[in-house]
Amino acid sequence: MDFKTLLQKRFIVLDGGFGTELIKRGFGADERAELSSFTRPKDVVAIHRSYIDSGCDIINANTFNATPFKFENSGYSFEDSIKKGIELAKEAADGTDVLVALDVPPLGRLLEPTGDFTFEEAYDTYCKIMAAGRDAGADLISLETFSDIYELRAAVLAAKDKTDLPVTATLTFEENGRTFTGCSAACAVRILEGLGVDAVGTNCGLGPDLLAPIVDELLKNTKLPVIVKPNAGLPDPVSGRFSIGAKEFAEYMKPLMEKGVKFVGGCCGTSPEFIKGLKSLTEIIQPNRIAFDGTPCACSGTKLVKINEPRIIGERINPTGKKLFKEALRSCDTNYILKQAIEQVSAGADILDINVGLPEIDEKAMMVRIVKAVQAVTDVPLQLDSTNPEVLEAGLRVCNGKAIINSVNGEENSLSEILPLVKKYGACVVGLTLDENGIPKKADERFAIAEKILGRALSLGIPKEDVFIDCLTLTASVEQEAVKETLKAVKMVTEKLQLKTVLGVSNISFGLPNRELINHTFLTLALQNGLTLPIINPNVASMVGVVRAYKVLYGIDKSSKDFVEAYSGDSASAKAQTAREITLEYAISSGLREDASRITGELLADHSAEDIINKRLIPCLDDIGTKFESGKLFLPQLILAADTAGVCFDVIKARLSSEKKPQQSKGCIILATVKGDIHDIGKNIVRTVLENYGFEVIDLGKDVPEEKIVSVAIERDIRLVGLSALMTTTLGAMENTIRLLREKKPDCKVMVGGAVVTEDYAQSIGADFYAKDAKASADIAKAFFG
Amino acid sequence: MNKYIDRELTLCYLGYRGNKPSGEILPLIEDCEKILQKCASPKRAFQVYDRALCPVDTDSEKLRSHLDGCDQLILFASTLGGGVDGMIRRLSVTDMARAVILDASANAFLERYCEDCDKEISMLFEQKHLTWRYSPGYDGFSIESQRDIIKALDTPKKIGLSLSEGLMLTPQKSTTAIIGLSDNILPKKRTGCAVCNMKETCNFRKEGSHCGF
Repeated sequence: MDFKTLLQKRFIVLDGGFGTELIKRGFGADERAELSSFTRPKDVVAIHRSYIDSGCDIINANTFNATPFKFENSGYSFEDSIKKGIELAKEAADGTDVLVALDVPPLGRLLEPTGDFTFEEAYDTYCKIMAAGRDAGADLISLETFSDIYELRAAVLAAKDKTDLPVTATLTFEENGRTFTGCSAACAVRILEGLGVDAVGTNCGLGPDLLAPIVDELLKNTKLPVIVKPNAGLPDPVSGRFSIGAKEFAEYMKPLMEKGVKFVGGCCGTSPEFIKGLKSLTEIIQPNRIAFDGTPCACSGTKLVKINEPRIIGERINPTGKKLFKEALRSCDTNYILKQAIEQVSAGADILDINVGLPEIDEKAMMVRIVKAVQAVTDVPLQLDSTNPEVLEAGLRVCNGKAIINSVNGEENSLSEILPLVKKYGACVVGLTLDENGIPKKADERFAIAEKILGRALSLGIPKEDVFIDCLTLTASVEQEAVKETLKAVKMVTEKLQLKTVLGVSNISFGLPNRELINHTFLTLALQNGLTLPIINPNVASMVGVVRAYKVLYGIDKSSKDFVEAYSGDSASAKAQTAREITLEYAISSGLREDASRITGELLADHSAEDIINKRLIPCLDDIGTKFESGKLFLPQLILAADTAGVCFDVIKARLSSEKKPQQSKGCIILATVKGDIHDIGKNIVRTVLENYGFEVIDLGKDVPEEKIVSVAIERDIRLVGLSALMTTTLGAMENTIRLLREKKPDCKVMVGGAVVTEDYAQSIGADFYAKDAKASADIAKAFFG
Repeated sequence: MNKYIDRELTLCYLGYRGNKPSGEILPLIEDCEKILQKCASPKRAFQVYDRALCPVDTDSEKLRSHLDGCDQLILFASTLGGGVDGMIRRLSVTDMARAVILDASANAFLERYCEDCDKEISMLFEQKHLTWRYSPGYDGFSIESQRDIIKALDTPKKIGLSLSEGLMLTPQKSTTAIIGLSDNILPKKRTGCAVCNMKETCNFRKEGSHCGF
């Protein structure tokens, strides 16, 4: 029987626990589970047979431990183990219709950004596992027990790229409905269905008694068959015994099967007896599946955004017309871009548009870098924005979630290049209503292009709810009549095609004074005509305000809860601010960012940037630094002051940039936490302090290989490098970095610091300077650059 | 969860040496305590072994002495989860002062949580006497043992705790340890600076204070 035929059945029965069955057959605590196919082949076959005899349709081969890490120094390869595992399962299934699945686990390493294992490394490892399973003759691939949806995505992509086999995927949820890495059932299945897996669900973790809410979420969010393989309850922490017996297990599983779970089996602590119980249930239950909620949505790995009401797409991560942003892209200043990301989310963006297109940079590499960096510090879904399909694909691969592609249009080229990507990665897509002949003047012509885009998407199997239409905003000062056509097209697409619409709002006001007024009036009109996804600058309070007010007036924001939360504090803080008569120094030492920014702006009216920096900011920081050294104030205050001075530097930078004056830099310094060390808080403190003394910092991050530090030092001709290490185990890497710098860039000086570094040690590894804390690093840099 | 919030220990980690935080810092600390309660998801795993069967090498002088008289050992691991790391990462971009405070609060939170786990464990083994938690990286306990503890407890699957290539715990706000169980009352051994690997470099000690360990 093949998998497709099997799917015709009302229920599909899977197997149960494997480890506990091995132990019942005398498998000892000192034996290695990953070698059991070699050491106990007869037991393995017997366990498979016992499950087949209980009524299984699919058995998982004994390959759950077949990963490269578990097979280090074992004398076997994981490929051998996969081959052997599949062979034994096939032997057991011989003469039956039972299918054999390659059982694939998480790899046991935590992926970036919290761990040090990259998405690409995970993908490469899974490719090897999938290829081995394919060659061994598995009938399908069963991805099990995942808690990180990012890792699961890597596994699914590898399975799809290396095999044509059906793929099932299950995650382990906790009682709060999320996995350890915070992924909800809804996000997981939306992402997985998009990637084209054949069945999704949950296994391990909880018993069937606790699974009902998670199962509901799974069923509501996918059209795919749903899998449930629970543990036999929870294990006793001392004896390890599970709390639920076979009969009780079946009783708890019954209602789950009634509401639509199709694949049923067991995980830890379950035995053939449990599976027999499930098998007999399959013969009596008439399922009535919970309906799929087809609300359009995008999601990150942890946050689902339903697009059933206006949602704000933040437009600020885009270099067009932004000098500082372009500069940040050229110099790879990721931090600048991340600040824009976080600022927009704090201001109310539900989704972030990411556009990093600049002719002189490698857009593809930059897209990967920025997508990874942004999703490490925010949890909103991303909209990937590029005209280059290769850039979009690179971004889609590493984007942890169901992204939106911006954009496809009615041109044949665009349709044939972009839509297959949308399909492969399960993204949503924005369709622009233009084609070979440009932007049509009339609404019904734009509607026709929208219809064409939708038709093509559907023909590729892209679900209707994943297609959004952009009816295109033209500039009112140039094409006044076109505004009404845009609004009309939005209404037509919304009502007749029942699709959600997107509009870049700010275009409307080019060339007019008081652009904000035009923008927010147009936004109001567009919302009224059905616009769901305005692309705006969320940092402009009145624009976000329009959306919030609209939601109140249209009864979307029930009891005005969100509105009240957003604005109730307003009047008090306004009063407090007007009452304040303060100095720049007071603002900095007290961490009053808004005041510090305002005062700097005022000072710039009649003082040079240099004067403000040298006569006000630096002396103020020096004063705070001295108090810190003498124990009169403490680390948080030092950093707060440095951070606030940073706001002043930003104001000065922006002014110099707008006046096309050269930037002030007191010197450029590389900072890095050395290879093997993933702790970067100390390095980040130093960065904050150095930057706010006016030094330019190239922050290479944590776990940075020696070669990378040296190559950037050479490329940018850097004279001072700061290295940090928190653990004794990584001090060797610090020493190696210094040695390599001496060899390849002898004129470059090195300062070192970190919890385990002492002055003596710094000397012994040949560092030029020892910085005992952040203040000391600033003193060193000041003396060094003079 | 607010029972694990410990402002005094947080201030100690931030180097306040018994001083009170100033007016502009106090609200940041309060704010970070709220953030921490939202993003921390503390979990623990432990397993008891007969001493001879414990899959971790305890055969160093220091560890032998620490575990003297214990016939059973507990391997222990705990983590606050990746949410705390993520929040510190985010604050490090926009608000370094809060990032530093949250980092210290999380360290204090983890310590208090582990103490709660100690209580839980001693209740499970009422007849036994427990040593304090001895962690890989302490004197005589190789950092390599992280690998054995993580593997024995299957922490990636059980509590979402893994090791980096350089043997660091990920998520960062995590700890592993070994605890000895004895039928007899254990001699009160010193916890503190004498057994600490950091004793030569520790900033607390330089200033004549200690971290509370």
